[in-house]
Amino acid sequence: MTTWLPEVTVAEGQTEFDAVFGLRPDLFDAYRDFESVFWTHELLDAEILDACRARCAQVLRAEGAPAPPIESDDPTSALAACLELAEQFVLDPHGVTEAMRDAVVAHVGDAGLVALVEALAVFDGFTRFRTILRVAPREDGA
Amino acid sequence: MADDAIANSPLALQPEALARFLVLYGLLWSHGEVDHTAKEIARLRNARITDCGY
Repeated sequence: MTTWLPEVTVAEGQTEFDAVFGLRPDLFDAYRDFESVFWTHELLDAEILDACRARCAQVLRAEGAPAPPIESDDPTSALAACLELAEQFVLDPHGVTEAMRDAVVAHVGDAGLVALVEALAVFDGFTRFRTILRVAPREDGA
Repeated sequence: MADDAIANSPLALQPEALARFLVLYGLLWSHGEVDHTAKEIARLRNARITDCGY
């Protein structure tokens, strides 16, 4: 399969994202190493990471984003606090309030807040990357 | 890394992520098709648009 980028061909078992980012293999390797650390080292709960990634995609109206709004059933949960901050992060980071930060810290601590914001930077930035370069989403919508 | 603003920031609370981020960020600045001046201008423009004081 080819993409709109004439130099890029998507090989069997590869995603468009892999093929496009693979134009810079050194950067892609380093990116994958960074992006995966949030899950492999369990810097945050995987459910929270996945939900925040999907919420970022929704807010950015990215191709493949799930249609139903990503929400938490429990407004007092860690997931709810992280989703609220995630949404505001994408819309306008200056709108992230101390109360939003405190709500996340109450559940996951200072280190968890740092992990969340770093992960959001990856989700937001590379969702924009995918949108701008018209790269199809992975099967999980990311 | 004593004077490294990134390494001395709250990012240090997540050392595994920080180490990997610094590799990625370092590669971005030290290699590539886009010249250093253009990258720096883009970085400054980005900071200005997002009203980032850093």
